[in-house]
Amino acid sequence: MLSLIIFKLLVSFNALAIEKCPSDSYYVKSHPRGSYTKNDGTFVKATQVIGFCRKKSEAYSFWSEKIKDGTPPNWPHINESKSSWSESEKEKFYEAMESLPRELWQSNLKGVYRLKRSKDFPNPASQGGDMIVLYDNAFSSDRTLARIASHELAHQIFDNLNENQKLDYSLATNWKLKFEDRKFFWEPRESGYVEKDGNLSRAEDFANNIEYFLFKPDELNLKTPTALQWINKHFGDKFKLRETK
Amino acid sequence: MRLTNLVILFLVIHMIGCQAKRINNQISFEKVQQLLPGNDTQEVVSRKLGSPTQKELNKSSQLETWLYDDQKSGYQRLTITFSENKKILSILWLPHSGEPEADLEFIKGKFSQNSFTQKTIVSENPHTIEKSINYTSEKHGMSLLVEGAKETVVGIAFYDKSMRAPTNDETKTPPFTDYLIGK
Repeated sequence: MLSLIIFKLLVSFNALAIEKCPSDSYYVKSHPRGSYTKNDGTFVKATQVIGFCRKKSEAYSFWSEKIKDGTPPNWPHINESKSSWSESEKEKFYEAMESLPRELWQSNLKGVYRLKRSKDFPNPASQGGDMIVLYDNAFSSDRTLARIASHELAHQIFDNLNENQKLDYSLATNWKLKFEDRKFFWEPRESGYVEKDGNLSRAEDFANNIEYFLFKPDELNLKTPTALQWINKHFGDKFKLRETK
Repeated sequence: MRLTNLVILFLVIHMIGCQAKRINNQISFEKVQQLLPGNDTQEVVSRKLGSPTQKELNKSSQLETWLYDDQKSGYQRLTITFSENKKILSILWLPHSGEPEADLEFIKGKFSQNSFTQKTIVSENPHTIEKSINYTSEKHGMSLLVEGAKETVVGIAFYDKSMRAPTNDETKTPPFTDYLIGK
């Protein structure tokens, strides 16, 4: 009985707090937050966050509508089970998005979903049909959430490039269009990949190269300088990670 | 006298080089259509188009491929594969942005005698899904690779009809309906 009363009090306190947040802020509910590392290498300790009003960031305004629970509509990997966003994960996601260049924020993206585990575990994230899925291990990976998300958002960019831009990227990075046995296919360049799976498709190569352009540009320059040059030319000088508080 | 001979020799070599380059510069879709798969030899191709930028030997099929790069961009422009008897097996042309042959309707109109069959090709990898459309006229030995919502022709192939047909001809069911019909 006592616990029920306490629970009701907490709920009403939360509701009151939400109402009290100014219009330029949103209420962050009390939640346990696990330790994690920011893009700049700062280690953030685990703690119990007490509910508070946070000023709406640019990332919150853009992404809050896109954060969705449940399974994405028509998701082809039917054996992947759904999860839901925790308060802590949402906050980490906004922080990660804030650090990424705005060119990666593609407005035609319909949703960012949470599923438990990829059919290709330990793959931490997937993209398709204008949707992104983050799996549980995206929040506990050695790669930062921003880096994982940048890769999936790069897939969305590749989808959004027009065919001439895709062709330009492909040819500039030494992919060759071939026609054998009455079939077209893109032949990967022989070497020069920042990640092994870059030779699976032009889209995968593009996403890897965008990720490395932002997070390990020296390695990209060493292994695929043509990609670095293309990204520089296409996006310009402002395409880089942003400093966050 | 010896020096004069050397200068003359140098000039002759330079002129031959320029000539080859000039032919290569003139590669156009119209010119490519004059080549006859199954009939024209490497010699004919060399005479009409000049030397290729690169020659490749397919490791598995042992067939020779000639690649002609675009002189301006240095990117792949034309690829010709030869059969074992050195005759053209297939020709692959990559249209440039803005060229009429990059437009599907233009190509359909130009080759209106061809009856194209359309097929959607979906390729998956662990992280993402891609699709393209093939238009093929088996009767005339012609195939188109079309990509994107604007139906851009990315590749045009003319082939010897004796060319081996695909061994794996499965069509997958597209996973994202809205994704496939274009944004």
